[in-house]
Amino acid sequence: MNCVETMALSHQFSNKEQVLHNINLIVPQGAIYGFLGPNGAGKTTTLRLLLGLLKMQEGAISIFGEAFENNRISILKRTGSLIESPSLYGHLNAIENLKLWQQLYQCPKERIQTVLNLVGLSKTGSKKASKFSLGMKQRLGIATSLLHQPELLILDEPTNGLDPNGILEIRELLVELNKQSGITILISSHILSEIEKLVSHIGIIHKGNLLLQGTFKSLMEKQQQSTCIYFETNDNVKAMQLMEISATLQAPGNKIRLPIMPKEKIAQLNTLLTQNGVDVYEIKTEKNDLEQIFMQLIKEN
Amino acid sequence: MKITILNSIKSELLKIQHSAALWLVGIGAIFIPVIMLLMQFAFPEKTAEKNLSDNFWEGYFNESWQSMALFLFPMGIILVTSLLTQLEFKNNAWKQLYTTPQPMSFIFISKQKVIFILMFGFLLLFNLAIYVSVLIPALIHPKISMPPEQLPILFFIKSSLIFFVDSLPIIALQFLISMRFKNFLASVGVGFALIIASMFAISWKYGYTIPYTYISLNYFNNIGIPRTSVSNIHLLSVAYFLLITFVSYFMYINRTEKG
Repeated sequence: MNCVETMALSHQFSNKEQVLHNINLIVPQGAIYGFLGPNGAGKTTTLRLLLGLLKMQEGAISIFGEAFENNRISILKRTGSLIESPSLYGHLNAIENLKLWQQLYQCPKERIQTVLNLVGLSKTGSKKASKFSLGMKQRLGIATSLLHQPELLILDEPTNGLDPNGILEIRELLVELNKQSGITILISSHILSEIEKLVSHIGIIHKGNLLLQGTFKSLMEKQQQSTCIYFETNDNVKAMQLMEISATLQAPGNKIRLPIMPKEKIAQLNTLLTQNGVDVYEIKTEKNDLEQIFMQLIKEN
Repeated sequence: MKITILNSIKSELLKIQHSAALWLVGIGAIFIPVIMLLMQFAFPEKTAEKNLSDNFWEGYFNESWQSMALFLFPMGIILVTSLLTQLEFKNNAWKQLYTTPQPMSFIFISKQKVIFILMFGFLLLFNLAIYVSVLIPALIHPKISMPPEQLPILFFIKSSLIFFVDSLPIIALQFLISMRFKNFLASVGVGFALIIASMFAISWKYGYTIPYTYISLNYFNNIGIPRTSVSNIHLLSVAYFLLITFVSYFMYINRTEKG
């Protein structure tokens, strides 16, 4: 079952600029869905539409199998969110901040301490939120979104401004929440490497178009397919004849390009070439990382 | 569990603790009574004589309202209303508030109700401070004694409630502006300009058309110098309030972009 589904979602702002084009987002139940795209791609607009912060113009949104338009309150009861910077009242401390949200979500008061422990802010005492570091503010924002034990968590660039340690902490927290409580997480980011260790599903958006969507595994397969081996020899023509691999290509820089293969096979090819008088100068495996695939997709569109 | 409007109001009340709006209400309410208290210590003979006069409390109440009615009370409303909505703008909190599972109308109503609560609190504290400003010199200064006239509590309550009714259009219009504009100066600037305009408009034949004049017009009626031919400005005030609130709610609910 899909937790979030959008059907042909399109949106344009008053300046007539179309920011979303027929977005068909599918976030399966229990998934950690990484919503990727460069700045200005339409990530925040999509997430704001999902939460009802923008009036829907075209398309449809279904969350927990219900149309958002007609079931706003029941859906929001089961959804936690953190859009852009965290919403914290600077003149209140962490507990006071959570108390006012607890009143609106009508969840047990004990949840306040639970979420503060969860995000490591239980010892902030009377310190006002305005005096918190950026990382602490971000964690309190996450605590707010988790207060009512949501089934769906929508996070817009939650690691923005965090140091590497902070990013790691948030990542671990989200994985734990997903594994232990089965929360579906929809997380946006413009840095693939930041969330690639976290997500089970991925969607790439650029200029308001969803370029790719699927499991993280399928993206890994794509990465695998684009990985290749380069041979540099003194006689490429002879080397290619000896290798008898039809897929071999003459790559730029006068190198022979071969698809990925087991290392034993690479060793065999090397022996074959040297035994037949071909000098091998270099054998190099070139692995396209996910960032390159991401950039490639964006460039192509 | 279903969220009621009471939960929304409680949440809004939790928000104003330690806030500038709350401090402003507290300090604003005691400001004039403190000045009047100091004046009594400065002129004890005059005070002692005045305390024995007929209708002392009514006169003292009207004296306390003089600068309050003309400028401080409307300005206080403008600042409190703006500061209250600024809590959301300044802390990027509108978006979080709009994603809570409550009807959109609850957010509007609860915010407006909190302004009402703050204004009621202001009036209550102001009245208490008026009484205390008479009590303290009588307790401390040997020449000053308490007025023999009994405190007309009902008069205080009724007169304060009328001032509150006359402030309703200012609350409604300032609420509309401060909900609409992120910039704090927009609501304060417009409000301030309208107060100044209302000061001039009091002497104008059609001054009653400007709702910011009602507090002052009521004050002049109270001291027996009526400045308007309109028999019931309080009804006009309620009508303006309802009209502006309706427009304000319509604009709020039809916003395409929230938070």
